[in-house]
Amino acid sequence: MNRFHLLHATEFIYDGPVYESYNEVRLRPIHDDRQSCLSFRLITSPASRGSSYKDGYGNWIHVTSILAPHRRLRIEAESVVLVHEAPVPEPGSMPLSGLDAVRADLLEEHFDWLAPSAYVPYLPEIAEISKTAEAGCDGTVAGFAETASDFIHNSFVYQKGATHVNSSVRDSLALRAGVCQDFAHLLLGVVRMRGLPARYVSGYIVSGSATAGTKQEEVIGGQASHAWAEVFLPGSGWIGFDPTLGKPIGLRHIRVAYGRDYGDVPPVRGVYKGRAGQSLSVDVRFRPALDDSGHEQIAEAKSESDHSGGSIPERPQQHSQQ
Amino acid sequence: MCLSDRGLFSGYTAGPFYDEMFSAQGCARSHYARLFEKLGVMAPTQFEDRRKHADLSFLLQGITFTVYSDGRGTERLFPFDLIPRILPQAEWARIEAGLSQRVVALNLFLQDVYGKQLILKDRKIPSSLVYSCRHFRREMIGLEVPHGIYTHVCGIDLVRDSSTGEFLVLEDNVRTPSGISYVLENRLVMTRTFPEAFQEHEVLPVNHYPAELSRILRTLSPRTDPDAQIVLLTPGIHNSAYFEHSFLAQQMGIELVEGRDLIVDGVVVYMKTIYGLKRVDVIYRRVDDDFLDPLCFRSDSMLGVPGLMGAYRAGNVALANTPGNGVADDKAIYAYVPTLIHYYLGEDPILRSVETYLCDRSDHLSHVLSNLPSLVVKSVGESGGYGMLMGPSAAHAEIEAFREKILADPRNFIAQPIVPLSVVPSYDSAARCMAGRHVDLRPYCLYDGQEVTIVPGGLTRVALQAGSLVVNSSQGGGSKDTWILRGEC
Amino acid sequence: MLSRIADSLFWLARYIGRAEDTARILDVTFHTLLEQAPQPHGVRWEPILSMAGEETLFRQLYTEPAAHNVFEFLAFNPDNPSSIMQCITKARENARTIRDRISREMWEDLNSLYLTLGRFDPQEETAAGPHRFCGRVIFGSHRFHGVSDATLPHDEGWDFLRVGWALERAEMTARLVDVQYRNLLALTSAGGTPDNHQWMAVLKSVGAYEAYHRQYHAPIDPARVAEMLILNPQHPRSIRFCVTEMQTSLRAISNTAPGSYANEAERLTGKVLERLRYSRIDEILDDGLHPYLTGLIHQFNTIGEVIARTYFYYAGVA
Repeated sequence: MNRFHLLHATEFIYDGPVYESYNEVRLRPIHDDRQSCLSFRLITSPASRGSSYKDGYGNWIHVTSILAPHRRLRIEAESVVLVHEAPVPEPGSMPLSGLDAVRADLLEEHFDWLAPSAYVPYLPEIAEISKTAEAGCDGTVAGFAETASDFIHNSFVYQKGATHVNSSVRDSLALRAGVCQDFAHLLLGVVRMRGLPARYVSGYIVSGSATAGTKQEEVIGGQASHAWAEVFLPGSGWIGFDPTLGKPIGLRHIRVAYGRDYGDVPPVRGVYKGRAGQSLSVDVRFRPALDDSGHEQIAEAKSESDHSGGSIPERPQQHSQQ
Repeated sequence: MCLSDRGLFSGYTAGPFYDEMFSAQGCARSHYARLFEKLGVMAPTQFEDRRKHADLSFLLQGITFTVYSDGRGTERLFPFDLIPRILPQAEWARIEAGLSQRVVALNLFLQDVYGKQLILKDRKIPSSLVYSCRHFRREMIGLEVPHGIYTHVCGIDLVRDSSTGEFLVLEDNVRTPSGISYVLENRLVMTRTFPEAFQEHEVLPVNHYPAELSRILRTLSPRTDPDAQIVLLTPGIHNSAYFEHSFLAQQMGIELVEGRDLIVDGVVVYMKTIYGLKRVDVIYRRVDDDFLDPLCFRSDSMLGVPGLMGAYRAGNVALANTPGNGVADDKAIYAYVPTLIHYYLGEDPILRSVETYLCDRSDHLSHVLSNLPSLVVKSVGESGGYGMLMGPSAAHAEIEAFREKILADPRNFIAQPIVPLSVVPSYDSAARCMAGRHVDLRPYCLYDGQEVTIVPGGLTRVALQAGSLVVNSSQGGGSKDTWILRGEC
Repeated sequence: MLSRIADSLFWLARYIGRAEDTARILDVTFHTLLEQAPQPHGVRWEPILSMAGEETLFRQLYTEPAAHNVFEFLAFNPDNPSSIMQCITKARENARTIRDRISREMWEDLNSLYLTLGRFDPQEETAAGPHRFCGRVIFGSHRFHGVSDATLPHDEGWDFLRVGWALERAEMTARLVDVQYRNLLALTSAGGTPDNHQWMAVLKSVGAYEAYHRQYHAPIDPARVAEMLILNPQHPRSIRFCVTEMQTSLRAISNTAPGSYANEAERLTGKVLERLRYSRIDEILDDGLHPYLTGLIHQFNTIGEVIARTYFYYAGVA
């Protein structure tokens, strides 16, 4: 069991005054039987009026509104999370050939997790990967998902900046490269096209230095914000796979939100009025909330105008009559 | 009283279709008898005069809709035909009962799919079909709506099948149906143009519609404040139904607002007035779901109000109609409406639907593909007569192009046999004579959670092109005043 | 009242006023030119174009400032945002966005003016001269005032209409006097003799010719014309009259008692009005008419902006 204190700060700097700014924030870690969100606090500067609700997928969404003109917006999410052991597939997993019999039922139960989506369309290239994974696996659904995840990990290059936040799997397929978002999307496509429900997980990976008592490990790309996929394996339930790391989901993966793809779960998304461009920086810090040895270690990951901030389209200012 | 060289009607024949005015023997049906007598003696020039007067009246009032075919919207008159569509009260009573039943069932369906989803769990309708509807709004799942009402205003399109004389439901419109203003304005112009006809007929009134709608909107207010602020949200002057928006706002005495007039502070909606912000309680919105709240739906929308869904979710503002209703008028779901009526009400549908083939069912698809020239194919999420193939009148190339489209995305298409629509005599201004033209009927249903109120009649749309079956205003259709005659059977 | 509606009413009035003013000036100038004997320094078209503020645009669209070009440009040209047809179109657009808030009669009247003017054939009219067309515009504007007065509740909406009318007129009169006075004085210094016709044209273009004679019982004199158009308390097109109207309406909107002000728009209007009340025409002429009028035009623009900030635009809560 790992316990983390998490500080996720998103800051927008505008090059002119903006007003009537609204944001949807998806930063509250999931609270369920595998992970406990012990506390959560969201602070904005300037101060905003807000509300929150749980969406149809069980994610917490906080909505902030700031009407008065401002040139800078900082959104700080602070939480304490307890991560339990991740579940592993039950032994004796269902054979892949058994999927056909339950195909219709799975579609009825899990339509959203099977249907093609904006970022994850069904493409022949994805079907190819699916075939390769099927040929190379042990013939079970669990083995297939794991092989698919490994295959993506080994065949695609993790390359920061290779794609952008609105890239669909088409881009990463063409480049054979991408970031965690793309790796997760690829895995979703591969397993969905084979008939297995799968969902996008937006979350964090805590670097080794922040986990007390464990050896320093490098987190790929130095990113704290992370994404992977969970696949529904009949008989076992939802099992996570991390095609970016190529390793099993462990005590350092913190889940924040589930979606059909990235489009459902950007950490911060919003609109504002005013003719001003913006620059974005995101800063995520972890520390073990309770360190037995009394040491406080801080892992820091900083990125600029990167994926983790979400896209903020500009709403053009309304014209006054002249 | 029969057709025999009667002035305006000289040379008129009904053709092979059900004629609403004349029986197969060429005699005026009893509920049309008095009108026929009146019109029969009218000189064509006299009729032409009245027609011009009516047109001028629409033009001066600016009762127009905007067409964007040429890229820069043109205002056009919605052609009005002076010969009314008359239905006896007994026939109307059955229609009314059938529509009420349908509206209640559709409302229960919406409550269910955005709530417990029992109908899906009971496998009465495939959940994949519901979830794949373009207008199914996942944002609405679990959201409690005021008084459980989704379908405050419905426009349900009916057609009379010439082969049986029976009214069938062709299409449900439960998102933001338009056209009611034409019903009211047509009646007004008609009473001015043919005052004497109204003296001789007891036509059931329609002008209580705005008051009834206003009453329902008022009951939705989260504040019991007698000054509850109700507004009509319009996309603005460039919307094709703008006239209707401003007409209804004026008739109901409520504020007509655009998205930019509203602002959400926290989870409360306000409108921007010259004296500052004023709280808004109920929004009768005529802006599509997609554009309603750029934060929640399409972020490029400039017509909506960011944060509106947050205020709605918090129960601080009511919306009519409810977002997400499009799942209920999806043309594929349409095929299941009889099932819904059985499931929720334990009743048989009073009004039958048109036989419908779902292209994503393989058995239906093969039938559709081998019978394209005799079918009408519709795109499930479209309305207004767009995205349609009329098999019998389509060229070979057009049919083949549609075949490709269907195969590429079967879920997006349904097909139906062509319904031979009934005709009503209509004035052909080019030929200067009466001719039978195909019509449909769109009654407007208001639902307050208890009862469905339907103004007698509705909008009769008429395909003014000879032989055409397409009545949509965007496709060259016109309209008629619709009379329900008291006591006539 | 919604800010947007107030905004639309204000601009509706301004556009109608602008159409009427343009029609008046066009009509009078055209006929003065007809009556004028050919002379090198006579009344010309250029000042009219500069008054409309569209001289540059005109030069881009036409080769010479001939009468028919100027007429076509000011009356019909869709590329000229201040052309009469454009003003009427914009007025109607504004009315259409608020047709649920104005009376049915107002809408139908304006819509019928729009439809009527739309039926004029630019080529035919250009050949026939502007009188028929301009007459219809001026009459249409007057009728719209009358219909509004008689059918619109005299509430804040009515006051925003009045502010729009008054501000537009005040500004247009200031521009007219400024341009014509400079033009005619330049003519004099160049050795020409502006005759009575030209001063009459100025008065006629604001419909003040008869009133001038009743007021002064004297031959036309440039200083008196200026006095009439700037300082006269009764004539509905004098600047002082219009500013008084503005003050009355602005106070009605904010429900402010005479002698005080509730916002910047009222303070600035009051300040301008006090100057107009206590100035004499000879002082103004001594200090220079041009700087005086330019100053006024500038202040009218500021007042327009301040009204918009106060009532029309919402820029976040404090």
